[in-house]
Amino acid sequence: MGRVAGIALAVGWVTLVAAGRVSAAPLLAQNWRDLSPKERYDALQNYRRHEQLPEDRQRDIEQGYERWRNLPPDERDRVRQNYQRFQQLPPQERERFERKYEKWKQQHAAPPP
Amino acid sequence: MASCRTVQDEMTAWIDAALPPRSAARIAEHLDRCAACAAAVARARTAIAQQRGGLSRLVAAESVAVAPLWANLRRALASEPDSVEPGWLWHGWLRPAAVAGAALAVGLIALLAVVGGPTNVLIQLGVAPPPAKIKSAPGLFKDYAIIQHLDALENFDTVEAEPLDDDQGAQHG
Repeated sequence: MGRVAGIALAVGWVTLVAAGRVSAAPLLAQNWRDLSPKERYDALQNYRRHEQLPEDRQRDIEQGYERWRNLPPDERDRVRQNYQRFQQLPPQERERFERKYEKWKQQHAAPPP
Repeated sequence: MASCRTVQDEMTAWIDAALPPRSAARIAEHLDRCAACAAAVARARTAIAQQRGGLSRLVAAESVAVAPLWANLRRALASEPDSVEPGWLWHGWLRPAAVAGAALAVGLIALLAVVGGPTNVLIQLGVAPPPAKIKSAPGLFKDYAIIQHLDALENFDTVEAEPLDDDQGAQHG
């Protein structure tokens, strides 16, 4: 019965954390602790996905993060809004946007020396 | 003298010699004269005797066989003090506990399947630290989808305004 009670407590704790009723991870670094349970879950999933990428792609994304961190707050807000706009596009429009971006990227690529 | 109907009604009592002397005499007188009733009484006497013999054999068999069987059963139960009676979970107050325990186990398994295993649960609870890369750059994995497409999102409006070749084809068509 003790084991069952332990499992019940753990499930209850997870439920409360998932519902945002209690603060999880009191022992962790400030930034990680600041993430909500849902953000923590997503971050772990993203980390697992990131680890599967080729090293050069990982490096590109990590460099992108440095750039993201150094953006002014209003610019970051603008990018977030653009991300929401992109998410609201229907699948066909998203695919068109990606094609447009590929074309735009080729046009703006640095010319070979 | 008794009638055939009276003989039929009182036949078993007559066989058992349970009738008053006067009634018994009247039936005996009838049986001396009525071959059909005499034959019926003979059949009934035989049947009753057979039934009584079978019953007594059954009672005798029970009295001999059940006692040692019961004693064997008691000995067997006594020799296994820790054995659990089959189906004990489904009796009395334990039944709700068993159902709740099973539901809890299923819920826990489902939760682990969704969250991605016990390690992920511990990390999310703060019991275990996250991987070093997350710890050093939590923002990277929090805004991962944006950072992955940062260049496109920074230039969203410009990219959106970019015409595609099939757009031009559609305009000319």
